[in-house]
Amino acid sequence: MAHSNEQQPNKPDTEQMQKIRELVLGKDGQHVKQALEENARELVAEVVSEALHDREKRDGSVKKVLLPLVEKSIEKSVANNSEKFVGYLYPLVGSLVRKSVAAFITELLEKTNTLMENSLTIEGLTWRFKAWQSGVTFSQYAASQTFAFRVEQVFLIHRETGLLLNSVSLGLELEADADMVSSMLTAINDFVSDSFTAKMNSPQQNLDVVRTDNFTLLLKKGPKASVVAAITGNMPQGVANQLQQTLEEIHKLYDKELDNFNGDSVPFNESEHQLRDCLMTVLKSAKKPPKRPWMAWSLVLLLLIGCGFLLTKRWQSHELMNHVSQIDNAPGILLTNLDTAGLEKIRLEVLRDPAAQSVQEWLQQQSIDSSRVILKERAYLSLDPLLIKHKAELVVARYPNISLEWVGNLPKFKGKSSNLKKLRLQGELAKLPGLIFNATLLDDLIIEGTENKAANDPELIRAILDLNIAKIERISIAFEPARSDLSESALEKLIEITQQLNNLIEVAEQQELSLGLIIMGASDTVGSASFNKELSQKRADNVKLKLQELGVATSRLNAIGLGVIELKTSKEGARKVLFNVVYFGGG
Amino acid sequence: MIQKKICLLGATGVGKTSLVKQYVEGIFSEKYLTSIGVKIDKKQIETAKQTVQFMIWDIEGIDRYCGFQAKYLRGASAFIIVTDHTRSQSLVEGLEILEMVKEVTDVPGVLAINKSDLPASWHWSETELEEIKQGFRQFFNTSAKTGEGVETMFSYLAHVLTE
Repeated sequence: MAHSNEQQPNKPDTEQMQKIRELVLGKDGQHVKQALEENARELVAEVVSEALHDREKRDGSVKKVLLPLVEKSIEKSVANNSEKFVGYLYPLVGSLVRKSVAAFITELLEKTNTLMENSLTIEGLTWRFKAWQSGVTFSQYAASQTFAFRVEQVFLIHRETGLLLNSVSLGLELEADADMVSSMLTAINDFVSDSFTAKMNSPQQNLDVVRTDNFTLLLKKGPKASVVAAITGNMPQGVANQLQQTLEEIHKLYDKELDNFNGDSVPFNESEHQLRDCLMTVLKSAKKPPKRPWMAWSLVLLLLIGCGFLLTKRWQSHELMNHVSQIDNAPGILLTNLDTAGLEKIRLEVLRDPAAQSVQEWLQQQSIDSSRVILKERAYLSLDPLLIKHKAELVVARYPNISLEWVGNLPKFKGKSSNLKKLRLQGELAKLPGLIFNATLLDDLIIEGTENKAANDPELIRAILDLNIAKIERISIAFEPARSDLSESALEKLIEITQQLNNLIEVAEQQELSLGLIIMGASDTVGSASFNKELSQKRADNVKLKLQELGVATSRLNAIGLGVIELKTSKEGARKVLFNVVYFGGG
Repeated sequence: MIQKKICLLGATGVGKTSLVKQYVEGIFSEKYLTSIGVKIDKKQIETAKQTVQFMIWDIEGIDRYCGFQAKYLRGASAFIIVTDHTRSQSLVEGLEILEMVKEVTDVPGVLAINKSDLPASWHWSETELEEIKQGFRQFFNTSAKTGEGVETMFSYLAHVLTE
């Protein structure tokens, strides 16, 4: 009853509370829920990071939930925006590739270097031979030669059972079947200690070092375990100390495990770190600096220097060729071919007017080393205005009183000269091909000595006379067959003869010489001799008449009919009137 | 993997070395037996639980004139004494060896009655043999020639030592 009495007032309380709760919170906490829902965003935002952190810390479940979501999002994103991702990744990939290429090259260089050091050096070859001789592999022999000593393998052996607890090695071929070796070592040690212990109570003898020519077994015994090192080369004391230290450490760390050892070596796996300390390696010569691939580098350097040298030479040749090609601008030199010949030299082929500057001289002028130029030169005649001027100047230079100036391409002569020299100069200049020249250009020269000196020098006068006479005598008048009338061109020639003759007469009179012109008519072989004789006379007479008409005094003219002049080469050649000037002394 | 040291003992000429030759991995030649009196081989046995690797110390034939290297027994988990059932003397010597072993260790030992491919020609009655076998954990008839009993013996040891 008491129980029910107590419950009685409680029941309405609960109901009341329920009602109050409903009023305050709404049905099923609706008010609260509503309030929460309205502010859900802010509320969650406040704590979301912290909540994720806490949950992840507690059971790591956040990662598991998020991981697939993130993976899927990324997958989708990459699929949809591959272009963008390419953009993001591009610079990264570039640097990655660069790095890996750099790493590859470094590795390659090192490998090449090792290969070269081992294969190409005399030492390497000797080693190969010796290795072959002693029947070991090259790498083994190389190791024995390269290292002053090297701890190849370290065993940790259980003292009581001789079972192997752990072993580490450099991973070389020398690695032996560790578990059998360790047992055998224990057996050997037992054998030695038993065989050489003199008295029952004397301290037990222990194997410490087993040494062969190039191989050492170093044994360190502790109360519960031994450490054994297999060493190639000459072992220094340092290794023994290191072994002792390692052994003590292992005894400290694995005391219980060593006591309770039942054949399971797993608890000793961690001892590898201590054992690794004993894998010591010392290179043979201390003077050897840290290994750098210097051989490979020097090869690369050599190649670079070689390339550089070739390029420089090539460039120099090119420069030289550029420079030498300027020779084409020199007057009277024509560049026909320019090419490199070998490393340093160039081949130059030119045409050169003999009057032009010599190629050697030109090279010297340009301060070019002529030994670098292989020259092939052929002569030609240049019409280069500059060269023509040069040639003219050379000619004029031989006449000290005459100077030459140029008005455009026309020469202008100044100075004094005798008539003879003037004539000679005229002759020489006329021979220059390409020079615009006629005799009137020499008219500016002051003729000296014609009145006095030259007049008194009959030889000079004769020379001048002969020159002018020759001009007349070179002229001939041609006729049609069986005709004696004069053509247009014949008339022109006669006018010229008249002028020349008048000049001659003037000079001859000054020298008191009597001068006459013999006009000789001729005919070809066609027709009778008498007719031809008559025809030739008639031709000469006609010319004489015409000259008279042109004002030549009859007294100086003498017309002769020569009749047939037989010229076997041509019939035509003989239908002519020829001239001959004669003069006699005033006596 | 668990390692165990096993000693192989027996009189000279009972065929200890031949018995295990084909069943073990070895890197050492038999000349070690005559030089230092022991040779190590190894043998792996798979039991239901784990792999057992036996380091088998093949100890040089022992006879009454030569000493016994008790040190080789140190740390052994078991031993095998090999006898030859064509020679009565081999069992006598085997028993002497057993006595000596018992002095230094109390690990389990098994008896291998070797040359089972040949007919037995020793002068031991069944009852005598039964009595002798009591001193061992187990006995096996073995043959180096046919290989009979060898695997069984090692498997038994592996089983016993991992129990």
